[in-house]
Amino acid sequence: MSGAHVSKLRKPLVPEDKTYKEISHEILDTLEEKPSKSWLICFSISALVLTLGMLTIGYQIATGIGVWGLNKTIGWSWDITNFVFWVGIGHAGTLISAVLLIFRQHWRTAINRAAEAMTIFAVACAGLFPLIHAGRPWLLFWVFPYPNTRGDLWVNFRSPLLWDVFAISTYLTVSLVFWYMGLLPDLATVRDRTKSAFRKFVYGVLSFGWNGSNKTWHHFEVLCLVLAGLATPLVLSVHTIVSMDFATSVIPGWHTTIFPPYFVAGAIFSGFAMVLTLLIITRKVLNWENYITMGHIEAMCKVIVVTGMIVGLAYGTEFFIAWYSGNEYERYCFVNRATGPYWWAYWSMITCNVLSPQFFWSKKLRTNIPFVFVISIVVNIGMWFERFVIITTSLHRDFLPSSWAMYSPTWVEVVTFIGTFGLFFTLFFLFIRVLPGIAVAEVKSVYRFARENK
Amino acid sequence: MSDLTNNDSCGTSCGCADSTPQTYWQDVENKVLDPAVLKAEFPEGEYEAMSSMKNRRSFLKIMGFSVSALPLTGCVKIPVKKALPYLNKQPDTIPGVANWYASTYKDMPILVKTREGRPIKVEGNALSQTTFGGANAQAQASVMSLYDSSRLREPKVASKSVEWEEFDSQLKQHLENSEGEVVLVTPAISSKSELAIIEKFSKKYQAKHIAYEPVSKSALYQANKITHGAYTGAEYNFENADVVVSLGADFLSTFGNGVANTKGYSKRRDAKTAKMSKHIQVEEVMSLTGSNADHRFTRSVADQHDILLGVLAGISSTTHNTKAENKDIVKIIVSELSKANGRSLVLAGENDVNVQVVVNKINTELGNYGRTISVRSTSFEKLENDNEFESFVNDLSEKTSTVIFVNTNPVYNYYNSEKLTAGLKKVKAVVSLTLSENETSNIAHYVAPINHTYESWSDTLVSKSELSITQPTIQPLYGTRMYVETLMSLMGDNTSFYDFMKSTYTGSTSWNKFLHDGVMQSASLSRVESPRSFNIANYIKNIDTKSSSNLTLSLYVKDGIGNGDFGDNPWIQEMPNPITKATWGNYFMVSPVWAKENSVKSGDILEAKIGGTTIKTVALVQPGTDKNTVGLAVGYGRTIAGKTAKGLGVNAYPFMSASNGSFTYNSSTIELKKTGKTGILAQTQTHHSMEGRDIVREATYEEYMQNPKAGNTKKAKLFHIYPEHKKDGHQWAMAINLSTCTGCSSCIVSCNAENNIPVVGKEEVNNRREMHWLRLDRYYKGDESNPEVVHMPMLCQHCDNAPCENVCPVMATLQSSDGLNQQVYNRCVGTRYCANNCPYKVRRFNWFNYDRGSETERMVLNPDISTRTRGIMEKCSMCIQRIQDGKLSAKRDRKPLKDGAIQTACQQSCPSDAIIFGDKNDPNSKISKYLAEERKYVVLEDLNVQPRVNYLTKIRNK
Repeated sequence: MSGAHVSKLRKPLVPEDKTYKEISHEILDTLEEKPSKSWLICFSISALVLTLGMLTIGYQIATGIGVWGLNKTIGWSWDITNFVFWVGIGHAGTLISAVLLIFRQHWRTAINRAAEAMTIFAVACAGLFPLIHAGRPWLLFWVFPYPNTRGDLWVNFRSPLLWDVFAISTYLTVSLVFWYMGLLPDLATVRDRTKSAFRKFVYGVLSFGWNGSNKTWHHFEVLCLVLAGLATPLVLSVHTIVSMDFATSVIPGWHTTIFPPYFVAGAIFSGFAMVLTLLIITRKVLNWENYITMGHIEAMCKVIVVTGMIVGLAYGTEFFIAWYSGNEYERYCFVNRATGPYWWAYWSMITCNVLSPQFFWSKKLRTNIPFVFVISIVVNIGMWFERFVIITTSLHRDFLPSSWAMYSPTWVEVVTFIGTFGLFFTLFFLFIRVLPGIAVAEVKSVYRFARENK
Repeated sequence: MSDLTNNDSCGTSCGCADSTPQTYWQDVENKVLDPAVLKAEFPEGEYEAMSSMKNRRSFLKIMGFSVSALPLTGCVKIPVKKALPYLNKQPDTIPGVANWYASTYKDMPILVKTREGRPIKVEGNALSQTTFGGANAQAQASVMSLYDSSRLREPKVASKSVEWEEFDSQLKQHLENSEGEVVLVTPAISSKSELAIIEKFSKKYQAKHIAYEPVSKSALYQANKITHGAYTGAEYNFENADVVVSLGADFLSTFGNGVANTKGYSKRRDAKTAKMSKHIQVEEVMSLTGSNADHRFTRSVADQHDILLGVLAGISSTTHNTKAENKDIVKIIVSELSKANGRSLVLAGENDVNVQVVVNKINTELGNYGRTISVRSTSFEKLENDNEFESFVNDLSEKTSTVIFVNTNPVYNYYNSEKLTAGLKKVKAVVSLTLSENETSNIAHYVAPINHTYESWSDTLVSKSELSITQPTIQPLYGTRMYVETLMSLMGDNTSFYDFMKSTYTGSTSWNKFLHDGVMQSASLSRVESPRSFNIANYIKNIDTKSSSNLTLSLYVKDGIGNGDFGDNPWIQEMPNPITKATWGNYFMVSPVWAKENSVKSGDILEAKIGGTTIKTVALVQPGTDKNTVGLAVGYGRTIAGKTAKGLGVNAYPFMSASNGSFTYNSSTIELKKTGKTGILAQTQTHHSMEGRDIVREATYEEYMQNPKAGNTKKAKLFHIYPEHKKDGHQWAMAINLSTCTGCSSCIVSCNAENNIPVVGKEEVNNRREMHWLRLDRYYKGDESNPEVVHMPMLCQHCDNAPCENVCPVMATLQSSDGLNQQVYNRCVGTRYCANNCPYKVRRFNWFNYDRGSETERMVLNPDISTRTRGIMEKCSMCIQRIQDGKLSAKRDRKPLKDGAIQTACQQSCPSDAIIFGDKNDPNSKISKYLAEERKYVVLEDLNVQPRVNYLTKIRNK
């Protein structure tokens, strides 16, 4: 592809002129150097937060779900909000690596590795919540349909929670395989560059004996394409199925056919916001501005504008349908969202998700890095609120007013949620420390793009 | 495979029964039967499922199981269970089979269910002609009090534990040697045998017997003495009353025999079966009774006086100038009463002799005596007399030798506790015979434990013609003794009270039949008094009708807690008040008008100045409260009590007073001030409007008479995508009659006891985590200052298309073949998805491992039901253990199951028979008839969840 004719109007994907060797150095040297002070600080903080989170979860499992703020009316709140939030974040990775690969969007090469890693870490964080939200987590293996001695007792294939088990585990597996396969050529590069025998051994094992032959490369390319093909439907399926946890219920505000596309758009929206947040930090800390360029940031801002508007449209549609259905419970549910006791959550969601991305119409604003950084965080806050609004405000006032109740989180829920950020960042910092954070081989492959005259 | 079948050791559902006849057999018993016979042994479809498994796979399954299970059993530490087998079989005790004993709780003839010698459940005695099988929440909860670990366990002299012999000899010595008066203070007693012992005791020691009740009806008895010549209560026959007018009398709950009243009242509240009665209530704070009235008016006590006199003037020759704002009420009452001469009933709740005399006068004028109300001739009862107690307190001096308090706690619940305590200090010896240590026993020199009712013998007059026996259902748990036996022992009489009591039932009365039935009708008892003439004017002029512009404190008795006796009962503490839905404590009940003017919200802590005293507690804004009245429940604020009651709420008794010879509960002026702090009310329901939703359907009596479907015309258009399931055999269903349900909450406690429902405590109720499987939703309609009220029992609706079932990932909740929605505790992993998806919000989650109390307290648990551990969802099972028991009994007797043989706990305890349960496939069953009624509907029908619990519309006679 590097040899193909490209219009002179196109700009190179890697703006500065470099040799391939320089690229390898700039990206991979960090793996062989002693960890920097800033990395150590960031990692220690993350690990500390993770430890706190784990201790809190231990306390919760030892004592009972009662340490959370849930009650007889509101059986899910922060737990499932956080679950959906993290699953959503895990969406951008696959989208960037699989869908953009199939659509031959070469600009993706600089960010796909980190985005995929982020996906896996986010899914790990997400997976934690269904596990710990159960009353008896030690029996959760019952949700797997494995041969057992319990006679006719089997899992319930009608339950969306079971679909979740399959959807999330499939997504995690495919994402993991895809990510790891993509790492192979770079792992081999690290193996070949390093002087430490230990590293050589470890990366040697990890790279599966990559030898860089034409045949290997051929297999690699084909495999990536196949995996991309497999992963693409998953981008749609995971959040579709997560949305069915709600859509298949009878609760007003949950029982909605719009949920699958609405959730998928929301997931991409939040996923891209999270990728932006992370990469803006990473490119600064690791001096990768040459690889993760303004072009990348702008492209992601545009995705955010589009998906943000899809989400906004969904909010409006929900309201319209609630009115149009003539169903009093449905109507009340939506009026209650906007004007009830949790109005602040609803309007936070609207402000963060529908209004804030609109700034990205302006080129000046979407090329202003600090501004983009702030908005990316605002969007994620908004998307967290979206799930909170859907889950909690629908449950807290459903059919029989006698059971209406309020919910507020306890410290346990708050610390657990913060703890998952600890998990996420601990994994992320470990990742950029021991694995190539940018796909070196793929960047090299697009280096010559728009550069054939040189 | 056949080995497994034959030696019957195969505990798994391995499908080891074989459908083909075996060729070889060992003996006749083990010869495999005809498949058709075998098939009949198993529930539908089970046999086919099992016999289809006799293949390689099932063999491998069994082998796999055996191979893996055997070593596993070696790894599992088998817990040591402290259970002792019966070496010799106990007569009358079959493990696993309940024994029932007839007994009495307060004024309710009951049956006590015992399992392996432990009383675990109370049900009303259906043979009673007074309560007809009804039992209230207190009776339901009383078994819990039996096992209360705070009960006193041994006698004490000067705070030192002693043996009974020591206690008896010391006290006897004191009684014999000490000069001065001996006073025996007991609660009201209506037991012939107990009174006979007391009489002997009084004779021996020249003791004076005083009956004392902190919540007194002494004025009513006094009034009856004046108008009928007998110091006794009145019995009401609500079944004959077309019009019921109550001025502040909570007759369905705390005024008179609430259960008997509810039975009669509810018979006239079902528009289908009888001409509906009209109930008019005027009261200052909303009571359970008031919430059921057809016309309810919120008026202060002074206004109630005004209305009372207005009514008297309206129907007799007296004159009264009614206040303008009450004229309409008087007009309505008079016009209704004049239409129903001899078929009406007028009641007043106030403990004021003048008011009660006027009420008696009105009933006399209306010709109600003998028809709807009767005053029995005093035969054997000792009823409370406030005057006597007042003079007892005044007369306490060094001259008093001994005061014996039997099961009374006046140091806590007498209004002038300081004076009483000071007086008692002068007394040579204070004796307290009590269930558990309390404020009175704390200052007593001699303290001795008494038996709980279920460890005692007695005979109680429960109505003018009915005696009810109290028999022990368990050996005394601790070193306790019946108070009568203590008295006997102090007289040097060492025979048993049982022998004494039995000896009084000789001749024509059959002791064994009395013991078996629990009740005995006696015509000789049923003499009633007729009204006498007296001068009414003296009483009229003493009634104060002047309205005060100050806030007035009105003390009221809370359902359940009563006068405070039930403070240590966690089931009662956690039972939501039928009106406020608050649990665990008392509060200032203020009107919405006052609250708005003073910007007070429910939950604000208010500081009250009453006389010279200041108390602080939380406020509850209660619709239907008079704007110048503040309600406060008695029975709280205990300082020396068990772990449950201690320190809960504030003591309201000090704000009582005495006037006109009786205790007054509503005369104190109160000043309320906000403190800026908030407290918790622990309400189980915080939203009180139905939001115009189609949840409770109602119609007026008039509309109903024109069209029985009135108010129930909405019908959802439903369709099914899938073919319907086969519904053969028994198909259980329930109907709840909203017209007769009074909201009394007996069902809630009954369900607690039957199903081992944990108590979660005040904090957790406030966190909205109460575990009740059955709740009573209470909604208000209309004007805030005087709303209409509906009570709606809400429990698992056992939907045919249950939304909870399809969302459970592990199939822990399923539909049974007889139409029950079942929760499989062992299988539940606790995702709570089912509870979220329940439109009725009736599922309850075990957030923690709940404390079941001490080892003794755990004896109350029903052994038929498991106690759920944390992380598990639970909900109403329609008392599946009772269904199973009923089916098995029928099977054992080889008879078809009789309609009504299975009663759910809530149904059994309902004093108004509002709950009907049965097989809807049986066309002759009661439930089938209810389901065919025009008033039948299901809640949230349009969701198409197809509930098995049906409701009958509420009919109001207005």
